[in-house]
Amino acid sequence: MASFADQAKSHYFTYPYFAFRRPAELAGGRQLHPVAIVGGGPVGVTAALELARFGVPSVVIEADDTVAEGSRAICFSRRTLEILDALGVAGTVMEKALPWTHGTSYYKDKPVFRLEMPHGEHDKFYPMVNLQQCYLEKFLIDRAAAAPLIDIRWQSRVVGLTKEAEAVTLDIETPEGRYPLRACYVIAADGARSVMRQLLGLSLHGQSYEGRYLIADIVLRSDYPTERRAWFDPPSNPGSTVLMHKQPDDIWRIDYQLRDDEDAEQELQEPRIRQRIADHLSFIGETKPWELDWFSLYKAHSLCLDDYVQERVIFAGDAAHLAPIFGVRGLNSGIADANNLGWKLALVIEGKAPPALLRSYGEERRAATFDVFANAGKSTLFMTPPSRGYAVMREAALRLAVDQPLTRPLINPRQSQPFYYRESALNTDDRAFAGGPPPGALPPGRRLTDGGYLCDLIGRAFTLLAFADAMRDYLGPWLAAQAGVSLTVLTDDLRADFDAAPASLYLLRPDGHVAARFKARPSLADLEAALKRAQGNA
Amino acid sequence: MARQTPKHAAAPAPAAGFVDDYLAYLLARASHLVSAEFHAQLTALGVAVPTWRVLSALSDSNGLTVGELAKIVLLKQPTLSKALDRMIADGLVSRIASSADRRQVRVSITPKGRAMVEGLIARAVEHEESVLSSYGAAERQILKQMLKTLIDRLSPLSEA
Repeated sequence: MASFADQAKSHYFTYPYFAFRRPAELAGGRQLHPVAIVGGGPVGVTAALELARFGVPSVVIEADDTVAEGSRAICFSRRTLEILDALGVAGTVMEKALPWTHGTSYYKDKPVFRLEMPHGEHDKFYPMVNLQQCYLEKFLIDRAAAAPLIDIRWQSRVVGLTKEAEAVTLDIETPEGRYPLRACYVIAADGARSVMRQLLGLSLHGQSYEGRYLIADIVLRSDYPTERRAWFDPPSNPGSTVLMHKQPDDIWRIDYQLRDDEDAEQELQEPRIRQRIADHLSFIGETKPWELDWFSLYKAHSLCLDDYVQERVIFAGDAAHLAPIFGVRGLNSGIADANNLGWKLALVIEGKAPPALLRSYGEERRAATFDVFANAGKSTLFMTPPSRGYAVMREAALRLAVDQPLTRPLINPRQSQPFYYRESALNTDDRAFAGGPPPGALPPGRRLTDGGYLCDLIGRAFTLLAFADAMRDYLGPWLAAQAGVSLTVLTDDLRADFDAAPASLYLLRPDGHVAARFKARPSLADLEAALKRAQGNA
Repeated sequence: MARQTPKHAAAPAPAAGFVDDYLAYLLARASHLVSAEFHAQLTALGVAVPTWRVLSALSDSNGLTVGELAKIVLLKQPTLSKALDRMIADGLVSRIASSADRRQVRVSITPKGRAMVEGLIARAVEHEESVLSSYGAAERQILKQMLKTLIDRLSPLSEA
């Protein structure tokens, strides 16, 4: 594992050092924590911020003394930015990140596909931004450090686990000794090599692809705009696929595929990496001097746990699922996990929903994982053809695409889209709708007449969206008796987006997804039943 | 923390008046002296006394009816109900329909309530230890045993 001492060499990022602080438990203090989070990476800290947003304190256990090294995840989706916005982190991210909307794919030296992601006045955030993961982690940690409900314990690693009826005890090893940490629930967000998974004797299932990628950050001053570029079989690296992304601080991320006949150990030698990158830069006409900042080897996987909820231990992020990087679904999925889990665990911790609600986290996010696998799988087959057959087909598609628009959609990189929880047990549907976001989906991005955005109004609690002022009187007494449900009446111009009549109602979950909708005014009993169902009382 | 009275005062002077030797008064005064310090700790932590009583009563049960709870926490039902409403809003306890009889509602402790009460119980044990520090093990046992016997023998009368 990387440590602070190893990472001081970065050209652009000052790695923070996080000191160990003695917790009360080391002095013999015994305390039951509502939630312990194993892993102080971006998923763990996002989960802590989500819980804090709902008033639930947590202890975060992190083995390292600094943030993860290198650019890693680099691309963050619009949905991720919306989630971070509710946690008060999106502003800091946007000050630093580079937004983009376009991409170009090349076959050898010819452009064959132009990627264009929709972005308009109704979108609060760009469809995608590039930012080194080390920055995102630092911004999240800065935010968490200022939150009184979050206690991050650095240089502390979990080495044992004991289950009790009402709690889990983690054995924590620190520079100053071991102590037991008791918690009602544990979120395991300790990454691809999850210790929590090992301690519970669980393993990931699925497939690993043959493809291996060398991923590297270089320092390069270039005015080329921020967009995704992919080269298939470029003259600079014949038989390989090369991806390039611009990042803040004049850092460029270059990913290139290793061919089957190339030896990983040899390819990880710095002179070899420099040569291959230099060849590619000269091919694309970048002549300025550059410097290698960080590199790593990456192998594509589609693996996940059979169940993300293991009694009182709940898995999130890479600890629960590993997906290929193509289409940027790794960390974006992990952030969505934390966003899905936060409100549910908070309701369970406060006895406002039964523990059964947590099952829906596992079901919904596993469905999202399989959707990621399906999309990323297609991309992976294209990016790293596993057999002669796939390779021939890809070459045919690419060759044709040079002149023929017909095969161009095959080259579409299928960038991450928010997943709709279509099959969720929390949903209540009304077939009378012919449009609008169905249960499980997110409402569309909309700019409001007051200058704000629709996404600013939702995602703090359960939200009822109504479309006429008269609904206030109807819902008033019912709302007064409900804790944690708020009402927003939208202006008439938004009815079309929701296929709404004046008396229609949408019930949104605290993570913004639609839980239920009613085309005609529902009885209060039906509304209450939908709310109960969305809280796991099915 | 200041201690108001020396633990082992000299042998008690002959009873000055009726109350000084009256059981109900002695129990009430002892209860007040024992509780006051701990209640001050609770107040400093922002925990209301009924909240502490309810949480500690529920900490090792699978849920109690409001009637059962009222007896244990020494509160009248209307007072208890008000306290419970507040605790439910705070996420410390929840009302659940009994699995045996759907109409019967039981109150149970939430994970948040459990996390809170475990810390309070640790403080309560510490406080009890300081109250009893000058008593030997046998004395402690006799003291508690006599109080328990007293409660047991009187309980059927008041509950009949």
